[in-house]
Amino acid sequence: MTTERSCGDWWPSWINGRSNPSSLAGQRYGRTKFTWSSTRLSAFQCYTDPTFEPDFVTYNYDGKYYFSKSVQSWSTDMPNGYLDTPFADSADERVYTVGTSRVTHLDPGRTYYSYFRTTNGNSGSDSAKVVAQRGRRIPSWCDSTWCIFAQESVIYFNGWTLPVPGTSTMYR
Amino acid sequence: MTRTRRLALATAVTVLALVALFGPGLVANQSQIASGTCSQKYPDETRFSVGWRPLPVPGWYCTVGSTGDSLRLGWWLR
Amino acid sequence: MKRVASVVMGLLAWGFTDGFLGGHLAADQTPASVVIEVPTGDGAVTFGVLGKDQRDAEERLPSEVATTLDDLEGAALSESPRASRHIQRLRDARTAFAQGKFNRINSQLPVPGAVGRQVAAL
Repeated sequence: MTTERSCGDWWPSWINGRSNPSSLAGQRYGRTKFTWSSTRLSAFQCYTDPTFEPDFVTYNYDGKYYFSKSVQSWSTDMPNGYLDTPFADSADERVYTVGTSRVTHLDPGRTYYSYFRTTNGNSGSDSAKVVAQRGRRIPSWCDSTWCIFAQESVIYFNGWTLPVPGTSTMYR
Repeated sequence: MTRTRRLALATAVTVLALVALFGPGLVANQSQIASGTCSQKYPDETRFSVGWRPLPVPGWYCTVGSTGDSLRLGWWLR
Repeated sequence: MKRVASVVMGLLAWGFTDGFLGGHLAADQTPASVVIEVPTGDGAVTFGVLGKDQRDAEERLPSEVATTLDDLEGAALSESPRASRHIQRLRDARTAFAQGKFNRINSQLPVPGAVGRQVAAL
């Protein structure tokens, strides 16, 4: 739909994924932490009206899932945070997303987090990957998820190598 | 042709042109689904992009980072 | 011209999604949420609570924020190297929330598929 300039490598220098039972009985949480170097963030902010989503994607091809579908609570320390609730996510790959609609408000070298919590799923273990997604606001003044278009994705923990529950860090 | 009919015709033509040009490319959620579909089509790829293109066949396209190959995912995605 | 086009496209997208998909989405959406922003020493932390209705989300807000901070702080304290700025931010948020220092970003969903600052932004 849009022709985009290329600004170079925009994805976080590293992403840490973590999932655990919550301190609230009967619930579980997923959390990602990530940081951009100055170079990476400058590149990211060079794109037109950029947005960022660290999608926590769980493997459900086997019908076993650690998290239930509906998010109870979410949080982030990224500015202009939002919860994306995809209505048509695949039953095989369930996506939990807390993103920011304003990448231009992020700072380099600072570690940000995204957190979501659900009730327990039907399995005590699972596996996951994290998809770092660059998007674009169209029109630029609109921060609604209806106005955030996915542009490019970079996958961390490809091959479902993020253990759930558990933690792992990947540099890219 | 009356002025009202001309206006109605012009509106219809404009809407049709917009749909032909942009179609579901205007729907943000479709781009998210395109992203998920692309990821599933290329499970070994670690980088890809998605976008709507009116040509050669209108639809959502997935472009894989390592090869630059483009795959048409469809017009309306579910 | 470009700006006008982008505005028109946005409005079209909105009209299309709301008009054509609204009914379909309604059945699949959580009906209500509360989103707040709590100031910290170096920025802010956003919390969202989803509930079966607005009252449910509002009532659960304090306990949900506490649980979220417990989870995050517990995780941070178990990690090495210790992310001291991250931990401090969480503690700032806990203190500020307890003192009632927070901004409501949005407390009147449903907005299909979207929860967050956007409502205030519009």
